[in-house]
Amino acid sequence: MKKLLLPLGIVLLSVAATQAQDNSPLTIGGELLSKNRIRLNDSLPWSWNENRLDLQLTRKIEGYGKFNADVWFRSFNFSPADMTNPFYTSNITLPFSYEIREANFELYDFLVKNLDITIGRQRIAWGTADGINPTDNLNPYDLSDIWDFGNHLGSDALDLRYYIKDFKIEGVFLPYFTPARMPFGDWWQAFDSGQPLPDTMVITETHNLLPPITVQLQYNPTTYHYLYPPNRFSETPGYGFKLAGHLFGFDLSASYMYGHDGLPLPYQTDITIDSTSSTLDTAYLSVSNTLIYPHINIFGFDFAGTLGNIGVRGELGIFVPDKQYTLTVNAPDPNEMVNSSLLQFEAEGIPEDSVVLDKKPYARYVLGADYIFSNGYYLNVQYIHGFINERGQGNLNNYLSVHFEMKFFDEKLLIAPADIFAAIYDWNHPSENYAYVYMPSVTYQATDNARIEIGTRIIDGEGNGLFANIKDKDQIYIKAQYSF
Amino acid sequence: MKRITLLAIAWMVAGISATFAQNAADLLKKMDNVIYAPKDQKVKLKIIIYDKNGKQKIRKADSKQMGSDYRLMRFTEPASQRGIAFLSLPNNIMYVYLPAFKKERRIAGHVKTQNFAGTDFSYEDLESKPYSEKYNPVSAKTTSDGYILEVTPKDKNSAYSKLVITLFKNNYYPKKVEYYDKKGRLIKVMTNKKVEKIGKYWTSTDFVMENRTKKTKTEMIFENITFDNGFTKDDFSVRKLVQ
Repeated sequence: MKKLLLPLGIVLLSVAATQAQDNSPLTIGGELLSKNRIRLNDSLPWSWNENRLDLQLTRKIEGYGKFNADVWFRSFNFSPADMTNPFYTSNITLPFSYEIREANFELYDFLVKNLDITIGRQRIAWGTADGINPTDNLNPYDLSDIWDFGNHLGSDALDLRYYIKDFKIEGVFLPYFTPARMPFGDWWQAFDSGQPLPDTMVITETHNLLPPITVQLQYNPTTYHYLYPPNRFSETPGYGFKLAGHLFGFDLSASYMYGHDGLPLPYQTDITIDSTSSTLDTAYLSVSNTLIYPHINIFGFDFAGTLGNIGVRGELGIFVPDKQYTLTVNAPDPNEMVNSSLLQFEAEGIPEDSVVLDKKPYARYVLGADYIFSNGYYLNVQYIHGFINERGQGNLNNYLSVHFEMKFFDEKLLIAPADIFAAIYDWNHPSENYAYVYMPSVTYQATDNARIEIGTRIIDGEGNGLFANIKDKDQIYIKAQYSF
Repeated sequence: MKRITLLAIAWMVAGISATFAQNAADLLKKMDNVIYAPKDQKVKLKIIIYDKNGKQKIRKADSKQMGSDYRLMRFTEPASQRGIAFLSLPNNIMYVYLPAFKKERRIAGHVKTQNFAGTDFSYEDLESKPYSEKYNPVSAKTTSDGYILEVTPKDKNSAYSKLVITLFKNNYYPKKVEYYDKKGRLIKVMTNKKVEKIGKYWTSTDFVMENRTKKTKTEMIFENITFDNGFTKDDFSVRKLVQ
């Protein structure tokens, strides 16, 4: 398929180019970005250093189509502390990577009037909400920087759009599977959906000939294995359809998508004994988690419009897994610990197999509104049911996001004193099950193309929910950005 | 007798007012006919924003317009705004396209009273709807070199209480528009610096909006203007906005 898509795109663009009468020059633009963060604990460690050149290339063939490319050159992270040869291995001294985020051709009125096609690596953004879009699932999430939330990776795809009056019919085909990029470093903890592991295990002799033995459990760092779908045409493709239009003063759309969820799901946990103490009161265990990417059907609906002077929008995603997914736990064999050939032992306290994703449908949705005050201040409020990593009925939490910003001095200074993301996970015990992130910031627009942002992220919470897991990671940051 | 005289004066005043209103309506119509004579237009737009110290910022955009209700404008400079596009459609429907998010979004109606892209023009000022549809004529008077027309907005949500428009005598094209806020204060003045006949149409190719309150001004210069390009409604659609 890959062999087919690229030549097809080149042929189509060539045909368009030969017909084109008004070729615009290649436009080269993009931005330079520098992000640096310090964690607010005792030693004030640097927690993030990223310097990025985002190069965007566009060439329009007036009336016929467009070529787009977006390439990131990213110097990311720090030099490793245990570097052995700093002089010649520049990619270790200054870690560096590049990636083609997008590279595609767009052709207008392809074969028939009002049919547009985009072929190649592209971002297909569905949904009307801000940042959290239950219907935006064609491209996997790029969660590498958890604070740059809402980023998605480009996907190799064929996107056809047919326009008829105020309506658009869209069909998307994704031949390959691309997994989501998970958060860098220990931010992964926010999304760790692995089975909680016990602190102790009780070993009993099956015929109660010996008193039970309570063993303290110590775990080595967990290893993760990701089972990608087999790279076969029968396994990897995803597809989607969307009907969008304008009715009763509102923009409305209905969509359907089938494919692999880009976020992994725990599939198997293997717990093995590394060693035990001589008195058998402590066992040292290794844990290996295997994760898979479940197949899922997603029915989507969204709307956007205005009520009076308020912009309103809503988005609903109904997720239907193709089957029930069960996490298998392979527990350690207590007989290995005791090492007795005469007696048989069994262990209690080790988690058992459990259903991690039921086949029953579940719905995530977002309702949002924004308002611009007469003095230019901006308020955006969203209610979110179900975060991106929450799956299955009964596992979806409610979140509230509030963003308020004020501009001063001819929009040179932007202050966001209230940027809050909050959740209460259990309304019966709210004080023990909540989380919030408070993210005030100040941005100075030095020139039209240069801006510097300084802010902080204060995280707090109790319980086991998202963000409560990372409450010790308060930070301050500085971000500098230059567009060219 | 006194009562009859008063009634006569009242009748005359009412009659004169009606005549003024009639003249004002005629003038407003004539002005619209001149401004909106081309079926459509395409232009490269240069926007110079002056702050109160005279410091300049420059924006550039490609703009096309059809009739009075359809307009599509796409920024080409500065780089930070490149690709941001605005679409105006009938019935006050407006969309913005944000290339960074690959998404179009409806703009709430009240945003129209806000400044457009950091300029001294509001969305309302840039609306391509004929003046006679947006404003009621109130009065008109003739001066040595033109006409002065006073109009009030039909929309209660307008940021203005009235506009005073000075027209050229020879072609009815507006020379200057004064905008008054709800308290009756002069807050903005738009001056057409260069009105020229291109082909068969009179048009302004250089105009300035001064904000008297903020002491700032914005100049818009039209380059490469072409008329009657044969645009259709399809050229002013969300599809074209995102292309």
